[in-house]
Amino acid sequence: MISAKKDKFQAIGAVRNAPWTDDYNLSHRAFCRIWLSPAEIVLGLAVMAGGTAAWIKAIPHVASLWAGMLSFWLDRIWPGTAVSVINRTVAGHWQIPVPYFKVEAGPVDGWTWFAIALGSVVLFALSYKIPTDTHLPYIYLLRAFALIQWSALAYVKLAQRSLPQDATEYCTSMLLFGMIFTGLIPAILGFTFYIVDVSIWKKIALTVITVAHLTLFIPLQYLAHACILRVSLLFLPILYFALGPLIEVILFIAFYSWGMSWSSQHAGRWSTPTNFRRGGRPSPQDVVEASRRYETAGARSR
Amino acid sequence: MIGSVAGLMAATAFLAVLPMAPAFIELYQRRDTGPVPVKNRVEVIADLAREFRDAMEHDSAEIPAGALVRDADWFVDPGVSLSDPIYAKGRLVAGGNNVFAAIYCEKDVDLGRNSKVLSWLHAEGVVMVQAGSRVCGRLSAGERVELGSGCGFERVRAPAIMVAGGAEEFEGEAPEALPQPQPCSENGEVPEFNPAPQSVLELVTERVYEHQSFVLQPRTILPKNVVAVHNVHLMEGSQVTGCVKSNRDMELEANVQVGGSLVSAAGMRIAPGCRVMGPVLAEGELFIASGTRIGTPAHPTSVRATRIRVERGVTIHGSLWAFELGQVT
Repeated sequence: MISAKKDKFQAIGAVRNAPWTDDYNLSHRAFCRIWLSPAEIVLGLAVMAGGTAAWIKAIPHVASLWAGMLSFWLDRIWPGTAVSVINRTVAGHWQIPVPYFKVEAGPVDGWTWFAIALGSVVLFALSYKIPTDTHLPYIYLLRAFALIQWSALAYVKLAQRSLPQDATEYCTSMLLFGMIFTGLIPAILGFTFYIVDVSIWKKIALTVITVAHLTLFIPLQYLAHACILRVSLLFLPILYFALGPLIEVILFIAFYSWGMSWSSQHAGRWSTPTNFRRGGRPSPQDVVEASRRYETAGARSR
Repeated sequence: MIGSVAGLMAATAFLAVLPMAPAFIELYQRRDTGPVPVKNRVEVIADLAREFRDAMEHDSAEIPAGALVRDADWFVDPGVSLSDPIYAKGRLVAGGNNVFAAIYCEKDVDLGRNSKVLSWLHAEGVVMVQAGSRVCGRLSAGERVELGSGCGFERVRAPAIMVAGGAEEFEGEAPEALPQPQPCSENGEVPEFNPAPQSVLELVTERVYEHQSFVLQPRTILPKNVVAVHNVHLMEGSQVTGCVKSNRDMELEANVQVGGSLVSAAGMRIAPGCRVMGPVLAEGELFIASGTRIGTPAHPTSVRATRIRVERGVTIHGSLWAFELGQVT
């Protein structure tokens, strides 16, 4: 049935493609679908695979770049802190180079504990002052952050010891995560953006922009985390949940949204199946052939 | 150190916010908001033909190469296939077994038996589609469309669409209101089925909400709307003044009259002699039996379904749209 309908549409599409016809007579955009030609699919897969391979090839250089960026800032924040590049094993046998630097985490007890507890309580209380009719999402966000912080405070108080995580290890692991996440961008965009009707150059541009931005952002992000952890390790859970991978995902979505707002390469004809909108005027033979195939398809669909 | 930390935080925050700049710009400038533009030509099915006519009349640059123009009446020999659009100022008569790409005619078109039009056909007068012909895409007329036996269609619009003899049964001025059903009892009264509302919603909306199948007895008037979770079955000669919706199949027996719309989430079968004043929509197959009339000249309506089968003698005022296939049986 579906095949018969497709045959019919392709047959009459050859005729309707002519300048004096409308595009394919769909009634509503809800009935539209994405039509990708084999060439578009192959090109998209090639860009996806090429982008991923290029990132894998560039990982040692990116690690060196990140180490240089971290050294630049650490020389000004904590002079004398050394940055090196170490290899981390992923999935058992993959060695991925990643920057490493020592972070002295701040205390988790005493006045620090009380100060953070007080601050989180004030934050929670402030959420009740925010108007619920216009800013409801912020209210829930603040309360969620307060709850996460309270979990860290409760753990330290009840367990009578510091958090099991280490600030240095946290920063190194998150840089490794950032390295892997950035490498996945071509593949993620391949499945979500390359199927959209924009030119291949725009697809490549969005991939390059996103990867480049994350490459510059991630080392600064986790160095900023290190600065906050220097105050107290108690901030580690909130940093991880609120300002860690979540921020990177938000940045990706921001770039993706920007790309999705770009105009289509076939603007105004986006509902037209790709196979129909290409080619010239139909010949008389096309008309007769379309007629014959239409009849055949119609009989089958009945 | 503090200055460096502040610089680091500022640089990080800047890079975090930078990708959102397009979104913030859109938020404050609001350039993209608004309904998605939908071409009017989707609903006005004669638009393509009239754009073509305007281009021809004004000798514009958009005139398609190879377009055929005839100032006088034109008889197309049987079996001829024309791959270019036709602009006929006089009457166009196709001998039969023809294939056309598109036709615009300022007068009448008589499409011979077993002919085909692959894109669109519009005549300012009458379009007669003889038996066995097929019009893909759009078919419209300024006065009326007559479809012969065995014709195939997709989208048809005209003040009157008459199917294989439908015109003969409805000559003259068509009544704009439903006639009173024939009484079935000896005392001459027409029974009314008017159940008490079961909820406030039923009271406000003046509807009957049936959780099972709904059946209206013969020659009974229901002065309300009907919504049924299962099937709807309107028995012979009954009348519903409102609209009828069913989540499953709907069946109208002979001479049923409906003042509003008919909507079925599955198939629909309309028996001979029925009258429907409002739109008829079915997500499955729609069968319309002979003698049925839908809409009026003053209040044209639309009939839409995935597949439509129409018997001889049906008249529809407005549009007839089969998403997959329409067939005169």
